[in-house]
Amino acid sequence: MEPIVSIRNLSISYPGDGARSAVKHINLDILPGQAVGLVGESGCGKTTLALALMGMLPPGCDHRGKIIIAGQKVDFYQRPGQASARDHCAMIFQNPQTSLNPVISVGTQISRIILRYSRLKKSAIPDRLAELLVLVGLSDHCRKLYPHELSGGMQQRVLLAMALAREASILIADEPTAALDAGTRLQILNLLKQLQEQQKLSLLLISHDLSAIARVCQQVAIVYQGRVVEQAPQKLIYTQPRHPYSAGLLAAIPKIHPQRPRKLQTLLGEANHSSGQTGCDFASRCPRREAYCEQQLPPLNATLEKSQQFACFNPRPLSAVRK
Amino acid sequence: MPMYLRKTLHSLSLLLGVTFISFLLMVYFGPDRSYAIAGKNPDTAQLEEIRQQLGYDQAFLSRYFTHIKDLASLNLGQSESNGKPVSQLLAETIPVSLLVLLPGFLVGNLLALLLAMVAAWYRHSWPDRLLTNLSLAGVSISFLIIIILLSTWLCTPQGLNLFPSRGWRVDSLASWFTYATVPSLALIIVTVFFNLRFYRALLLDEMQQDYIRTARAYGAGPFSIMFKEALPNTLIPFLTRLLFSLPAILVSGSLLLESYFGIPGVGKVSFDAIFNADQPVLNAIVSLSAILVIVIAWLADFIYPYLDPRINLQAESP
Amino acid sequence: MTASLKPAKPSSRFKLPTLGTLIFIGFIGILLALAAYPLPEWQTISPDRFAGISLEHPLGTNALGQDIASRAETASWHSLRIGLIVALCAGFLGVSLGLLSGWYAGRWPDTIILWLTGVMEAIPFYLFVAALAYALRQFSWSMELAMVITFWTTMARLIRAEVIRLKQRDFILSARAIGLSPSRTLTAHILPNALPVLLVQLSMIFIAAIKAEVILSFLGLGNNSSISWGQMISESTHEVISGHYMNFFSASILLFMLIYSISLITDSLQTRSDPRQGVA
Repeated sequence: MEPIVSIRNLSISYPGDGARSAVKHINLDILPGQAVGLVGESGCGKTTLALALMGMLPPGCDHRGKIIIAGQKVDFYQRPGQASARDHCAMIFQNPQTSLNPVISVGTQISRIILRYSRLKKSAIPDRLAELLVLVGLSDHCRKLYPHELSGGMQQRVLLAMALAREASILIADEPTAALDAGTRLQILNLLKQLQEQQKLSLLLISHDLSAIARVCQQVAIVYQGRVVEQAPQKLIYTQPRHPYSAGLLAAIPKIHPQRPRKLQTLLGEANHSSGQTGCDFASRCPRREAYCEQQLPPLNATLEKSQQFACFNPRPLSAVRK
Repeated sequence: MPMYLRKTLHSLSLLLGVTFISFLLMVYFGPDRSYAIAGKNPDTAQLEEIRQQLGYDQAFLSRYFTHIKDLASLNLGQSESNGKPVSQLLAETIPVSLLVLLPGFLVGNLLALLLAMVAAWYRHSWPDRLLTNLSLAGVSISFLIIIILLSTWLCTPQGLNLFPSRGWRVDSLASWFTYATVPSLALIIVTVFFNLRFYRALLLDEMQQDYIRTARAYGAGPFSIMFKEALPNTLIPFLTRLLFSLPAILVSGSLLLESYFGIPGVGKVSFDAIFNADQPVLNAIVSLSAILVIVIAWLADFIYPYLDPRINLQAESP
Repeated sequence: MTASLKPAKPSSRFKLPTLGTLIFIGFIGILLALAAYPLPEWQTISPDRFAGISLEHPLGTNALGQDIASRAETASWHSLRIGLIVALCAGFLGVSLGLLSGWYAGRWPDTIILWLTGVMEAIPFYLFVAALAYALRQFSWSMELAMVITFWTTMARLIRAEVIRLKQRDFILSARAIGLSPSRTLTAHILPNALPVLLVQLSMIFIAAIKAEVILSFLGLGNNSSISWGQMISESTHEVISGHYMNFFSASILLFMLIYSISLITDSLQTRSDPRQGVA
């Protein structure tokens, strides 16, 4: 199958940041109808990648490489309102509270997008609005409410309805659950998964939360400091992570096992943001570091069956099944 | 206490304050009018009688209450320079001032808003820099200088000599254009310079909000982002500035414009009253314009919930 | 998700003098040059009416044969003096009342000060000055006094907001926790942090006072014991019609230089304390 989104060798750096790049040589494919998860800690370049996909990079960024969406090359500095490759994408954001216009009713905000993207007549818009509200699990009276009258979960549902109103085939969700409490988080993730399957959307779910990704995505890419360090189907990542960083992330997820209390593991140290280093970005924090790790950058290698790729000279052995 | 009640009480207390100050300045420590009324060489008995008529012999508080009562019933006395009732004088001059000032004031504010939108849209690139630097230089030029330059250019034989340099004989739209164009132009220029940077800052603040990013991600164009998304969020500060500068423009702005162009509006009347120490006129204008400011502010509080659904006047205030 | 935040441009420590400081230095330079130049007294009337530019009269003379350069110089010092006095006095009043009302926010001193601010802001400034000037007609500082009484309000509001904002910060809470007195906390800890706001507002008052003085003395409401830019411009309105521009240009250009340079300096100050507000 042809990928609907393909990111090729993409590097982006912000002005004034010197040689440090927010995104480094990223290659990533999303197949039609596939849910891909992008995992990494804050500041690793996840949002930059999402903004690049939407053609909304802040002005003055330095970029190399390209993104192709449905055969069309993305212009990173898309002028607002212009038709382009990003019309295939809808995006939902981290803070639903601030991402909605506070002085406009949610019904109007959704209707504006219906009007802009569907070929419906004006009179048909209220019906379509009602349909979308049902799809995202909101009751019909919500259309008259203003964002501040809704809970965080309901606000995120409104944003999802806006995404559906856009009639895009690709949905980019940037930390959609980070600002929500635990119960609501599960509801929104389930809704996301349900909508993705039902509407046959391609989904890029960006999160720092591996468990959220596990719930929704088939394919997972793990990003460290702007670089993809490991990429594999969801099952493989969870059962046999090869990159020490992926393993560290997994070990940091709390698990409740009353019989076998486990000490929660943390990654040591802080991300090293100094520019000009030549070796592996993770070397300074890596438990499996060797001398050469700091000299040379490990390339993204494929395993024999090619489904799992990782960038490490000294990966965890295959037998090291997660305890 | 619900918010609207609290706001109303606050406005009432402000009303007491401004009337008290106008009373102190204009009436209690103001000019003693008995000599003026009594004419030349009055004897003490005559003076005493006039002072009693004017209520000068009464206690401080009761004089203050008389002052409030007079203001409330618009019983403002007679002008000392021409003997006309002050309320009639105001009724004649306020429409003139509105005709001179209101169009320029509104056009200037709208123009400032539009230019601010351009600046905010092109923030940090050349249209923004040009506009913000121009308006900074513009506010540094005194209103006076703008009026003189403009009238010398448009109203004198040295310049284009298109308009009369003074006067006001307006009975039709054409005559309005003859007499009000130059004052209005001056007012527009000043209003644009004065407001552009403020409106730009308002809009720029909104442009950095997340909901604008959402609108951009969902394909909104420049027009839609500015007018449909950002503008509704700036309406409250915009309207507040508009409403609160209105009395200042009507009174202080007209003082300069009308005395320069010889237009018989409120400004000219207050200018003359200042120089003739015409206490009843001055008292009426100061008190009424201060009351107007407070009433406008009070009314604005009741408009705000319609502009921003987050404001709730029924809510209990802390 | 800090990636979407654009880092501020690194500012270098050493900068060329900005346009604002250059114009200000130019303004002071002109004043000092005029002070050093042997000029007649500004009041001196001579038969030499509407004289052109000469060594004796570097900017010519006016309708009464008075030396324009000398009048412009005196008027400039006059304006500077008024601006400074009003800014310092109104600033002091505004800062003190703002500190008081911010510290006691929500309690009676705050209520009274806010009420007073509301009352003062409702009264139209020029009429207030005129009325006060009349009520205090034997007192030669009535204009300055009226400006001080009306110009403190914005400063008080801004300082109050700063105090309320800073009061909740950890370092203030800890200063209070170790038993520092309110007055010491306010002056030693809160005021220094409110300094950018304070300085910007001080120069705003300075500008407002100078502009107001020009308009008041143009209208004839100013102090008649000295010459001011407003009076020079007032004289010039009759002269420009007959083609004599020196009075008008010398007064208005000096006025513009002073106001524009202070505005530019203030603006860069404001941009530094709040980068989103200023000119790019």
